[in-house]
Amino acid sequence: MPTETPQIQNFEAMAAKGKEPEATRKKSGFNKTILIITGAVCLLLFSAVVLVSKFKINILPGGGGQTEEPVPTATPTPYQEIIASPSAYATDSAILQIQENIKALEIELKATDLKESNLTLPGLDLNVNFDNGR
Amino acid sequence: MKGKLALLLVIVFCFSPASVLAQDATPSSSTPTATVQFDALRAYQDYLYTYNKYREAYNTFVTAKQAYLNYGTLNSKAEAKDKTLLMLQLRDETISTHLTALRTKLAEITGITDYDLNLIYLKLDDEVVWFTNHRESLTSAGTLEDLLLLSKKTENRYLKTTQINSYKTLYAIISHKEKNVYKKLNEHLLLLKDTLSRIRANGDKNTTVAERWLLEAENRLNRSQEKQQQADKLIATIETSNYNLSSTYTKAQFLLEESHQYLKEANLFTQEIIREVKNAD
Repeated sequence: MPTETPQIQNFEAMAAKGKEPEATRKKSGFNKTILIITGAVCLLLFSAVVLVSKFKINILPGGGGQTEEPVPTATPTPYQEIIASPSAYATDSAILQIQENIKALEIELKATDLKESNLTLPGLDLNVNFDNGR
Repeated sequence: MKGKLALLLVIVFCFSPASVLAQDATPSSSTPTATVQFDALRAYQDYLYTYNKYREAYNTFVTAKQAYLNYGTLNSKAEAKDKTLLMLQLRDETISTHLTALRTKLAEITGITDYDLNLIYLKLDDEVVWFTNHRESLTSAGTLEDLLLLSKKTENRYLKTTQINSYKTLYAIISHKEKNVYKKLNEHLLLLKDTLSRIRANGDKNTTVAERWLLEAENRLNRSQEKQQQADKLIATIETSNYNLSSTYTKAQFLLEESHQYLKEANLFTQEIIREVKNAD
């Protein structure tokens, strides 16, 4: 049968533990402050990241690391009229005026909407009844 | 405790600019806004809003109707009556706002100029008044059966006159657009014709080719006018076309599109004529 051996308590060590030196206490307080400051800095950085992503503020060079590739847009080369041998009327004010008007009309012709689909008649149920069939 | 306070301050500091920016981004509801101008766009938005409300009301009406047909209780009948009333009111309002949208669009494009257009405005106004009065009369209906009788009145009115006036207005809008560009091109061609006559009189440039091409352009312009006239004739028969209103309107609209194609061709020819005039013989 196993016998229990009484544990010898080290009362001296316990007493020494209770009397923590002043320097150790100061050190733990200092550690706490560092921890709080680190936490605050992390939070600040996190908030800054959230703000930047929310309002798309480009505070970092190159747009904060996320550079958007410019979408290539097709820009038509404006038509340049080349007249090899111009007549006396190439710079005639009346001809140039008509040309301007015709160009403006071409834009108008392209933009004219002859469908007006927005204003077509609304679909309404006119035959309202309480028959079982409907 | 001090640490918690510091953390709180940091949070407040970080998020205060966001709220300031948010305030800047959205206009305050309490700020008095400028008087909203009632134009074609505004009228169209009003119509869209009412039409959406009608569709919502129609869906709830269908549900209430089905419940009444299934259970036949007094409660379900009262519910059906309420939903029918709302749906019918919004239906009248949708028609009124649609007519108003058409009217403002026509006014924006044309301006009140001639007798025919004035007649359209008068008819549209008459329609709007009828539907406004009818909408008000719906509230006095005591029973579901009364509501159905009033609904029948709307149906008759809409099919007999409102639809015709709506299609006529819609046609007047697109027709006026087409006639407007036709008129401009005709003026330019007349001016070009005069200029070519002047050049021919001067004798320093051969205008034979340019004048031949001008005839081609004029020919396209004439064909465009013919198509417009055909469309005008067709739309004049819409009142007698009874149940084929939509089809008649579509045919007239297609004729205008053909007319438009001729105008585009005439315009291209004119550009070629100018190029020819600018080049030496």
